[in-house]
Amino acid sequence: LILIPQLKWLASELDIAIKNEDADLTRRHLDNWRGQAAHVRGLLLADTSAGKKQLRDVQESVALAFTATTSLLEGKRPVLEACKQARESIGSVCNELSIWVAQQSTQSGRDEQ
Amino acid sequence: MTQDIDDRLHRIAVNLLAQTRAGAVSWRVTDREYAFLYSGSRASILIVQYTDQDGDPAYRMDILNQRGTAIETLDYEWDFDGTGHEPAPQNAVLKELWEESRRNALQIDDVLDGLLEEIKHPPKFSDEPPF
Repeated sequence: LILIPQLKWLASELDIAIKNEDADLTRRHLDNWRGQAAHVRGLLLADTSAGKKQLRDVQESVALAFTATTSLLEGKRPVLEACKQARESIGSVCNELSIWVAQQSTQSGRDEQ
Repeated sequence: MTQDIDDRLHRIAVNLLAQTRAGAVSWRVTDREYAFLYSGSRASILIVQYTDQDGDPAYRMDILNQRGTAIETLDYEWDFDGTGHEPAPQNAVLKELWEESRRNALQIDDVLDGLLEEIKHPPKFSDEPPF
């Protein structure tokens, strides 16, 4: 669970790099996302409460980060356009995982009572 | 070993094509114009159209692992049979898979059906302002 805020922080750093049209930093953050999200996906895989959709969405965000990196390297389009799909996917994964963390916290609170 | 992997990649492409045609799997657009993505929970498949050395369209299927790294590839190839170059067996399936993935990801059928419906039954717009 402690890795989720890290992913959200990474997503916000990615937004700043995109806003500044910094292609190199955007690429670096996308690459970091691939590493961190893959780690989280591995942990989710071991957690029976995580659904298949969550796993698939995290995997999709990682794959889209890879294609966005290639798109940025080609340098044919502005930074935002070159990683729009990846950014959207990363945003929705962050939202999904936040909801999941909240549900887990509520559940463990109930279990403790 | 390589032949075994190539055979399995070919089987993956054939099965994915059938499932795409059946509407059982979904593809999505990516940040590369001619690349479409299918994701499972453990790996992803990227199908890409590119231009070969002769300037002709060619197709490639990449298997991406949990970290989004391309770990295996099934590429468009031409086999030399002694007299000339013949397309490799996977070429046809790669081309069809790219076309079907594009159709699915861009929801081309929905767009065309919607257009056809509007053409057959054009909505009536009034020239009067709505107040």
